[in-house]
Amino acid sequence: MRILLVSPRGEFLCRSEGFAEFMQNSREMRTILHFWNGIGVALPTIAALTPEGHAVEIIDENQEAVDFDGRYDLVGVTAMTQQAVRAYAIADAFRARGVHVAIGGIHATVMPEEAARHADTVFVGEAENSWPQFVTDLAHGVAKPVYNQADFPPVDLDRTPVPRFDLLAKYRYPVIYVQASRGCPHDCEFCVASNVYGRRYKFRSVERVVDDIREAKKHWKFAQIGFADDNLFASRRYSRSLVEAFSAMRFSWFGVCDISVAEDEVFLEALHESGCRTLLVGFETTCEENLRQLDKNQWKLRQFSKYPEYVERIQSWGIGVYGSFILGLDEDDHETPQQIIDFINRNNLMGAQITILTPFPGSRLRDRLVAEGRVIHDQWNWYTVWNAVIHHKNFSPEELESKLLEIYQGVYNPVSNARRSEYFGRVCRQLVNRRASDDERRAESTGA
Amino acid sequence: MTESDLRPRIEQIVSRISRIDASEFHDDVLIREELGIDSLMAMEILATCEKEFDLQLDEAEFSCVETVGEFFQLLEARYAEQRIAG
Ligand code: B12
Ligand code: SF4
Repeated sequence: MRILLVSPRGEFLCRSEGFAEFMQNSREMRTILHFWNGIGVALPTIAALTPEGHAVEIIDENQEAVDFDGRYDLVGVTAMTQQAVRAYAIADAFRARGVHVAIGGIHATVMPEEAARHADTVFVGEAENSWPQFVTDLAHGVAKPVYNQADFPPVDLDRTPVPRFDLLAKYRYPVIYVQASRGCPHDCEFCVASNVYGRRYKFRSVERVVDDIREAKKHWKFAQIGFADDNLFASRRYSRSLVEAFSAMRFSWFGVCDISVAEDEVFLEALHESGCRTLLVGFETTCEENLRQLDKNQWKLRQFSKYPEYVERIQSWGIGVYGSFILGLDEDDHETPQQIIDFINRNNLMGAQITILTPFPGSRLRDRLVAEGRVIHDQWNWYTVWNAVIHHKNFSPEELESKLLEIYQGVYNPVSNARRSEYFGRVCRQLVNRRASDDERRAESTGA
Repeated sequence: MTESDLRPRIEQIVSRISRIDASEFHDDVLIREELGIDSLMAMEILATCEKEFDLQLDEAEFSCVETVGEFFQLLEARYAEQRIAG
């Protein structure tokens, strides 16, 4: 069979013209967009899982147009929620030409009935076990309408082959995503992750992760490696061996983790040595009451008072902290935007992603906001996290969007940029001095 | 040390911090877009060169630099100035 896998065109932007203009004119925002670019690891993984004897092609619609008249026997489409509308249009167009269409990913997993209106086969959950079975079934003319991971044995990440990055080598990505672990035991109200990947962590062995990175680096010599993991340092023992292996390699990388990484200075040093240059940390809010409501087990609330000290400690190792914040949480009021700006600027965060609270299907948040009559619409292409799709007691939807822009402007403006740059200049000088004296001390103690 | 001795030492520093093989540092390669060196890495590179060669470097000046060749030129120029002044 000839198989095409498509990642549909995605929307980054907010519908506000002011925002688009700001993005155009701010050098920092353009840099962020340059690095905030790439494709998830799903399609190269699905391609690698395809049984032998089939020809597979991948198209990233953010990079290249799909040829709807191409001769394919099977088209597989992925989608996170904001890509769903485009994914369905692609699916409809291929089905109209008689091609069998399969759809999978985070959105199809939580909205399988909706996806089934546009696809012949819907994948619910992870596809490592179900995809090979489906391809074989389809080749024998017995494909089913739904393949649900729940009907298969648990996914073993070590049995997943190295992703087919070669199929994406035609694109010039600044970042290549790989995945070391999956699953999350936490239960943040707005998040869908645990519904899709389960509540238990599972890990890919360090050797396999190294193989994935080696394969990626074969095709993109200079790309940074981004980790798709929701919390890369969930197990400190595992992360230590990961980082040790990376130290012997040549690449720089970033990942998502929680702030507790700051508790271990030895690990921070090892992180820097291994090429880690940025950590994305979900602070979510600067308001304690919001934190109390967000996470049932109150983990983030307990860390709250330590945020400034921990950020300082991580960054002192030459690792930039990129914070994520949500605007539109229940307790947010007109003070909130300035508080977020102050937090980011005062703590010299290297960068920040601020988003508007979005009730993604499959989240507890959505159930609650629907029950409260606060979800404005289900036009998924506006679920970009930069558009307001909710009613809030203190802000109109337009205000949420204009306040979001205000926060970005408060963070990325010439004065704060200069201050941040001065701060990081100082941090780097201190780091270099500290390293030099450590080296001297080591030389003395070995009698060199 | 002359300016020409400088280059291999700078290459070594850039290679260590960016974790890119020094054989890739051709003069016309774009530092940010092609090598993927971000601002924090760049600052660490500058701070290390300052310490190693006893230079004063200005981050603003570096922000105008686009290619590997321009970066080496900037450092060589600062180094020469410093020697004349010193
Ligand atoms: C890499 C990534 C990106 C990259 C690449 C995006 C892209 N277009 O591919 C970048 C940085 C560009 C990005 C941007 C955005 N992202 Co993003 N991103 C991720 C991240 C970190 C990793 C994705 C990944 O590789 N996962 C690992 C793979 C293996 O998992 P998977 O995709 O679910 O695939 C498995 C199954 O779902 C299934 N499957 C998936 N697709 C298919 C298809 C077929 C045919 C089949 C059979 C099976 C199948 O099989 C896979 C193996 O089991 C995730 C977080 C996460 N944990 O997934 C967020 C995530 C997907 N992003 C998210 C968001 C909101 C965005 C943005 C909209 C917002 C923003 N401003 O950041 C933008 C918009 C991007 C755009 N223009 O397209 C949300 C989506 C929420 C939702 N419910 O929809 C996530 C989940 C983050 C989060 N926790 O909130 N993102
Ligand atoms: S937001 Fe992060 S910590 Fe919270 S449930 Fe989702 S993946 Fe886990």
